[in-house]
Amino acid sequence: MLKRITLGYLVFLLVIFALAEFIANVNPIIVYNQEEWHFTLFSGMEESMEADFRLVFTPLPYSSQNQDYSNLNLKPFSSQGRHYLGTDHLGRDLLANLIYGGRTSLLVGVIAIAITTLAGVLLGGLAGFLGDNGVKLSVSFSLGMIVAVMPAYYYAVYLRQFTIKESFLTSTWEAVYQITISLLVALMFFVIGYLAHLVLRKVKYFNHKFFFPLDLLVLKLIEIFTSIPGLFLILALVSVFRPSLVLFAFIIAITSWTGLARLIRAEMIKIRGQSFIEAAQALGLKPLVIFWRHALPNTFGLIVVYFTFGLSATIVIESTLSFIGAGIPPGVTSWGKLLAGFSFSNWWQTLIIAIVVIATILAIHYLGRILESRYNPQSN
Amino acid sequence: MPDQPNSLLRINNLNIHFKLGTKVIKAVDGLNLDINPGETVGLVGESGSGKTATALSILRLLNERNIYFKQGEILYQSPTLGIIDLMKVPTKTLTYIRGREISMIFQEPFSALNPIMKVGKQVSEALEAHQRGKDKGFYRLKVLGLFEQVQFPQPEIIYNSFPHELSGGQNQRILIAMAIACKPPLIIADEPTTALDVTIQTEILHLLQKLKSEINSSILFVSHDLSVISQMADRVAILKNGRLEEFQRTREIFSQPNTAYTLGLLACRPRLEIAMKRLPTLNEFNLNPKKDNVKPQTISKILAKKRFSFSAIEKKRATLSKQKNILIVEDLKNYFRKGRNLFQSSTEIKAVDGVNLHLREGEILGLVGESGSGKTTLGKSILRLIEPSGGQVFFDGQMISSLDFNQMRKIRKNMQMVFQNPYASLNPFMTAGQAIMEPMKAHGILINGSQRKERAKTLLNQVNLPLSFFDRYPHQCSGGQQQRIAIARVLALDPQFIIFDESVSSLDVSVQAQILNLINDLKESFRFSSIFISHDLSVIKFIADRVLVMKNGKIVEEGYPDVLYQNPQHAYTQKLIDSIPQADKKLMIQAS
Repeated sequence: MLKRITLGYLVFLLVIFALAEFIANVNPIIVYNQEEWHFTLFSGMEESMEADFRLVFTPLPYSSQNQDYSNLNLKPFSSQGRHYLGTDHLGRDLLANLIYGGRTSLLVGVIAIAITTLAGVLLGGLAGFLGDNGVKLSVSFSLGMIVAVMPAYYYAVYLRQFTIKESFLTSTWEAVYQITISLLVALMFFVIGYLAHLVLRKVKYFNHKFFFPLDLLVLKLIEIFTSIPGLFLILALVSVFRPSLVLFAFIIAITSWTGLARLIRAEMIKIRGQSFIEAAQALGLKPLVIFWRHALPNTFGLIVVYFTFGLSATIVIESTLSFIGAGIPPGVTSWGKLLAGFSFSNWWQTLIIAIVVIATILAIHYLGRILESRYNPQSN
Repeated sequence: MPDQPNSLLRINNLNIHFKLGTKVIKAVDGLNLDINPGETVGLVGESGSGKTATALSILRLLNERNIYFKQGEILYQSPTLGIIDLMKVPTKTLTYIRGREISMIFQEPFSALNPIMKVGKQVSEALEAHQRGKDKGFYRLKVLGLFEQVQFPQPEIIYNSFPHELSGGQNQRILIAMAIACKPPLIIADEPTTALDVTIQTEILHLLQKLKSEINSSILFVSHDLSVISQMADRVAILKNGRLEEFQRTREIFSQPNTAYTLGLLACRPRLEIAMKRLPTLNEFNLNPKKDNVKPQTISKILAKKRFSFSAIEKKRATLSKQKNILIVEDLKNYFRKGRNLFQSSTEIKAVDGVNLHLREGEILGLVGESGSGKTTLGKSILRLIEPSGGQVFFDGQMISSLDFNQMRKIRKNMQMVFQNPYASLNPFMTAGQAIMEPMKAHGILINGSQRKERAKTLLNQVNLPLSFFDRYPHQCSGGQQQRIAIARVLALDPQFIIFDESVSSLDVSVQAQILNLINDLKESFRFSSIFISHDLSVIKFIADRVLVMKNGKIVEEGYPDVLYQNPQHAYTQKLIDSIPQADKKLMIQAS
């Protein structure tokens, strides 16, 4: 029963968020003007349409930032206007804000936690599983890579830094495009380095192998990241880059991947010692196959728990950062921002927001438990 | 005898049911038991027979939340409180009883002690709980006295040690000291020697007997091992599926078992004195409770049928000695460094110290020794699961010690290992079928998934598991079934050489017999050679064609099993043989 309610609620939220523009929008959906039908949901009405028109509106005729000056501080379920859950002191509709804010919050949360999980699981997992003597590198390979780093940095980062910085100011997709180009350039140099390794390998001295201290390096990386004060890093990044959703998700990921990485690393060291891993080795499986198919699924429970808790934590982080103006860009609403805008005169607003946020967080946690019991054969 | 009025503890119609998912498990089902003052009662049964549930329920140590239903009475004649029902008394009374009047010795000495507390302090805590208000020196003296009683030569040093600094046997002595601290009338010993080596086991059993007569208390001795029980108990209760099968004097259990189940349990243990082709299993005995009149002759009859005649053994040895060597190990060494820090230099532990051995095609080589003798390390060093420090291994004429990682990975197809703990050696996230198909996939055996699936099903059939096990997860199978899956997984590669590392030691005696028979059968059909590692001499005696005895990383003796047992050359081998509980010998007289 609880399972159905949970899943139903989450699906309901997802549908609402996906169709947010069709549910709450100050623009009419369709306008009939001068014997022509205009689809105006995204474009809005033009001045010329004022003369003669018939309108079809969305169920809630307000957008999130839309101010209704005649209805300030409206209580929920009042008959004035169509503000079902009331308005705030600037006349913004609460229900519309809830819908758009929830979409932002979940989007940011999922992106941030996905990056976090990927980095944490891969770095922490591999560090724990392979340890300091799991990776053997030859001198020629490491030499090739180290030499390749320098031109790669010069051509991909140093020369292109202004282009990349500019691109962040224009649009997110432009930035992604420019970064991809940089990555391709860097990759090219690494491929050249690898080819050099293939040649150098012939010389006996360069074919000498040594253990690559992966665990040590990942641990040091974690230490470096944890030693940076999160808030200062965020303020520094905000001063350089224009606030955007992707940047914000990235910031959260950067500051929180270390926790998961340490957790997974510790778990992986425990799993590594278990005898089914040894059995897999004895069967002649490749190390990465053992990691991927045997070791990693055993951390599934941990990852699910982290994912669900992380998702709810981002809403809190986001409200903190929005409060100091470093989070979600202005003009975009989010649950965190709504929570941060608490005032005693409009206490019911915060109450409504809190109920929705709490319900969603609980539903996500319960979803985590459902997933865990569904995919972990050992749970009943 | 069972109806003596003055018994110390009397369990009347005890029922304990657990609920697992939707299934109700009757852990204890209408059990009646009584223990007289000064008597040792043995409680024997296979895993899942409810013996531990019974033992724990006496002190109400079972987690109440898991109990679905409980009923019955446990009447205890307390010297201070009179007759009380332990099922009903308030928790306060129970706290008074626990440790003071009824104490407990646990199975795993390491996990029963607090790792961050000195053992002396832990024992004195047990005393302080029941004799309050004395000064510290008093408790300390008492604890030192207890340590002397459990035969520690230097109690002062032990007092200030942590559990990890002591051996398993020493830790078990600490637990025993804790249990006898208040001289309780009843001690419950839950498998106190199962986690220990045979030689240590003998010491602990002797110690328990000595202490019992010193403080004159009763012992409820829980064990899965009939031969250990035979040494300790005055009366034996045999449990099966939570029901009492049989409860009578020890001598009678062994000479005139009343039920077929008891008989089966007695018969399916591998024997030291007789060479057998196959071990009898429980199924071969008529388990119909109506026909209880099994004569003791049956056991000898069944054994006689399975006897391996001396001429047949000779013949087998002659053919084996003509085979070529599949594995040659020369001067294999594995040294570990341990304990290096700022203040002390490291000590070198020679886990494997210059071992030479050879294995012929089709042979099973037994490797026997106590824990810490390096036999598992030797096995893993041969397979290069642990990188050896020195020496050479030749497999099928090829030197494998210098192969690189990928070449070694390909060779692994032909050299395999079956591990000790079947549950731990299977990935909990993979079904039996997936587990069996995994190595085939890794080595590219067969072309596609459906063919591998067919083969996996054939293999399941060959290890005598029904096809329904294909989709079962390890935790849904019993220990014996898990070990069958692990064996099937190894056989999927059709290897030439398999190491069985204590592969039957975590299994029940009856299951152990089945698995040993299975290994024997599979050896015929799959034609592999193997090294069988075990601490159990009787298992080795049954399965092995040739035996190596290992001590401190060295092979101290080598020979054919029967020759070795009748006439051990090395003192260590003699010690190992002597520490086997004597029930087998008694039984042998009955049987032949």
